[in-house]
Amino acid sequence: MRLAAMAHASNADSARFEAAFEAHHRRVFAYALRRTATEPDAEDVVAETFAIAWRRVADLPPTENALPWLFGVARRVTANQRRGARRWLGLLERLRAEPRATPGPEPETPATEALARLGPDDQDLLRLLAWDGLRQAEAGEVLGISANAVAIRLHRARRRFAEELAAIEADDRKGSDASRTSDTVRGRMPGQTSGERTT
Amino acid sequence: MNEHFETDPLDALRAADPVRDDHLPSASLARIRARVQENVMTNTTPRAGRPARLIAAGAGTLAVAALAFAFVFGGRGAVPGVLPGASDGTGFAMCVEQYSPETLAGRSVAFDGTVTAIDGDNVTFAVNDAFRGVDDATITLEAAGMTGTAITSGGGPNLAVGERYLVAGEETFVWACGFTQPYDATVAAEWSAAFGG
Repeated sequence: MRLAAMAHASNADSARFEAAFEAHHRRVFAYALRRTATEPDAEDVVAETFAIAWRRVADLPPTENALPWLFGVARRVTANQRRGARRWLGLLERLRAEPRATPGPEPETPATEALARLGPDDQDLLRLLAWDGLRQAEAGEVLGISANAVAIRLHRARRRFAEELAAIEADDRKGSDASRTSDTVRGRMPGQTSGERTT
Repeated sequence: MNEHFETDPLDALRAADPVRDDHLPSASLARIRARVQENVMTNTTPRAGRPARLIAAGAGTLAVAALAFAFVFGGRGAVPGVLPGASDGTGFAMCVEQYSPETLAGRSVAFDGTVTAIDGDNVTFAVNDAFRGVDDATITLEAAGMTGTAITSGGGPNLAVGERYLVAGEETFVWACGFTQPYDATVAAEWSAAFGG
């Protein structure tokens, strides 16, 4: 479906914007969903990203190269949204005088837990490569760093991620071993709840 | 020296992707399209306006000033205590670390080498003099952004076969930003000293 309002547009800028929107808005939305708490928040990020792209259409790269540029804009929009949300939540919490956790978009798995243990720069880079499907040079464009710096950071981040993942999985194994041992001592089979008894 | 994983640890992260690009909520996509359409209808096509032009002009002035600064103060040996290669790095914000004698000494690989082959981002050097972390007569390292194959290539020389360089890096990587630079005998002597030679 074309943007109806632009169907009549004949200038090159409008055509470039429309082509970029049609080619990339789904991936920008997926990018936003991975980094915001709710779908409406992600919609806001995409709408604002393309509003900026429209205002700065003269700077918008050709469609085939536009995705990293759009991600770079979406990254800043997301950061602004988080800052605004923190201020708003802080106000609410002061009014309610009770803490409230912001829900995260990511289900808890050993991999996401390992990711959460990394620094923000490492997290940014790994998400761009593993989830958003960018190449290293494209990720460098989004983050504003050179391809060389991406390679170095990736090498370190991959190693730290592997170490954290291994530690989490080792803890999980220890926990399940302890659980099995404890269950056996109490006369339960592994996986059986404490309310159930062997016969 | 090469760290090798039997499987890519990032495969576990890929599998934990909370969003599937092919299963995005259609209602959200429709709302986004409507909002973007509304924005386009209510805002005429903008060109580079006065603020943008002023910013561009300001950036240009700063760039000229930076070049002038580098020309006046970045000359070889002009600043005491800074190795001559320090000015070779471009775009410090793009660098993992800024080049200095201290940060140079922190690299695990450093040598004087001549490029014998380039294959994508992998560059093979014939080692003329090893300062640290090199045992063989040749070494192949990844030099992302320095072989002319990447979109961005800030911070490093474009390596060329037959050319001689002072190369520093970490494990399997060549570092840019002054850590790798065209060979110079004076700088080579300083590198040798930095690595306790």
